[in-house]
Amino acid sequence: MMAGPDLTLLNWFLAAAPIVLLVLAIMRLRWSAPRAGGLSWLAAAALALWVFGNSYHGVAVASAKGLSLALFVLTILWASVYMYNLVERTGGIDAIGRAMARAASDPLTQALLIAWGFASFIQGITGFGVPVAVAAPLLMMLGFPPARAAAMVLVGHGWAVTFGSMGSSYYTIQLVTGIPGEVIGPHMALLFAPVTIASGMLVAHIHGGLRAVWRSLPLVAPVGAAMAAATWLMADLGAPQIASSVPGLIALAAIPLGGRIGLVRPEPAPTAAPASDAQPAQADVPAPEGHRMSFHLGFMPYYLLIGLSVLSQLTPVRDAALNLSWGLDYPGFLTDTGYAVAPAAGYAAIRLLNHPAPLIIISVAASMAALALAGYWKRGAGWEAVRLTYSQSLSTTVGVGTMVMMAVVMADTGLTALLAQGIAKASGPLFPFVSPFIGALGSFMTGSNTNSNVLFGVLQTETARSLGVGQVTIASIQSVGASVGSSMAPAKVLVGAALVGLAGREHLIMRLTVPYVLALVAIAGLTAIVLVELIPEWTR
Amino acid sequence: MNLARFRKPLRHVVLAALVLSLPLLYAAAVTLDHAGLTVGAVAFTAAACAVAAAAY
Repeated sequence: MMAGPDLTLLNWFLAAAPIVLLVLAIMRLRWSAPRAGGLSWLAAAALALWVFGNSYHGVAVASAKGLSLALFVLTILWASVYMYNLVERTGGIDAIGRAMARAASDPLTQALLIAWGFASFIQGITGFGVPVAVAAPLLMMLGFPPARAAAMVLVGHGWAVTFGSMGSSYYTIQLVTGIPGEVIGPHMALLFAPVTIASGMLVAHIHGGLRAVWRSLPLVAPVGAAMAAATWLMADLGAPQIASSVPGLIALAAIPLGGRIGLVRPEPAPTAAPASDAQPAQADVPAPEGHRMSFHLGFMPYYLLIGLSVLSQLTPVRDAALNLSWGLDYPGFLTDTGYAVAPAAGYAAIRLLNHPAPLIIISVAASMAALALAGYWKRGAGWEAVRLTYSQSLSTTVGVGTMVMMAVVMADTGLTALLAQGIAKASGPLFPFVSPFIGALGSFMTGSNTNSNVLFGVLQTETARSLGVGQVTIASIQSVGASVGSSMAPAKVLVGAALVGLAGREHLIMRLTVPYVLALVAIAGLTAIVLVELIPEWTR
Repeated sequence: MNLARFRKPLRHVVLAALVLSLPLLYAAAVTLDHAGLTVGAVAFTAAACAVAAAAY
């Protein structure tokens, strides 16, 4: 077991204080993210310095690492917001919205298509918050309320994170635990099955409560099963890097088809719909006057982004761009409690052809050139989009910066590990149920499934070994919990808030998203504990 | 003092301070590895966070 602060009840509660402060401030007190984040960093730094034996040097290094990590996330946010504003200014979003409304005329089918299918597909290809940045504004364009649009996308794509971004989180859990891919891949894919199907149901629930779940069940059940089967097949065939994008593609094809053949039960009489929550999703989006842009031209930046993302994953391109990156090197250090932080070379490096921001910028530049040639370019649209992007991203930028600093200060003082150790120790025979919550805690803190797997992968398998529980199952369920848990990470929620115009009112999205995400984590935990108890020979 | 009228401009100042914090922290704690400057950089970051809490 790694050294660090002693696991006592007092230490555990003190270690939890910055997170409790953050969550209470946002969800109960309705504070903005920068205010909650700023105070949480102050609390984390004070605890690190004066209670848990970290030095000023350690806090400074950890805070700088946090800002480096925030820069990694924020460059995606800035580029995504700019892309959206520019596409919107040139009429592209209007064209996309009209086409999406034609593909699925029923609001419930639209919600499933965009928040569950499209967002998962985008996660499979790019990840790092891009699904929220791309899909949430589309839902808003169709008339969905902003907080609900963001929450649906956050909940709908969470299952796709581990195998998304071309499998980066999946490869990480494999590396840190040393479990071969052919063993953990199909095992984890099966554990994802209930979560994948439940994600679709929960998107329907966010849209219209239990009635919408019931209406969509004939569509969600078979499509979800097909997506889960495709995830397993890809993992079993040794192609985990496309085990999210292929199911996403299946959903993109099957959901509009299912909607057309009547798999979504018709909406009951309109008098039954609650007035404030009824989504005026537009089956017939009013056509703009004059020159109409086609869907494909409007969608061009996103086509290019998807194409470039695939291209950037090809080995020759990756090799060629290996040295085209920027990241700072950080030294390791030891706290007074003996918690060792390893040195990090090129920390949170922004790789020119492997990071979404440069790819988004290239996509935008090429698309705008094409739009200018096609006669759709509006004079001054570029600067107007810059001004709008700055004002929309200001609060989110400060919020992400302070919160990520807090998370890294906690992690580099040993507080996050202490929290996980306490949860694991207290859970005893319930450990398989609690295990995905530890994974979710890691991704909540760091905003990343990958980082959660790095933080807790070994802790989880070591605890499983000491309790005599299957290590492959626990390593898998760690990543399942981290995958869905990343959807409630403040860094991700803030990206959604900025894109749907709720910067400064993130609590509206958090309050809607967190219960659904916790429900998904609980489903993962229940799956794990049932399998461990009932089929122990399957759980390895 | 009425803080409300200063809040809007302060938000831009907070952003600038956070942007400055990264090079300050890195230079003090990593490049120069100077104890006094490191304490100063942490204090600067703490001030930025405190102002963020007041300005938003």
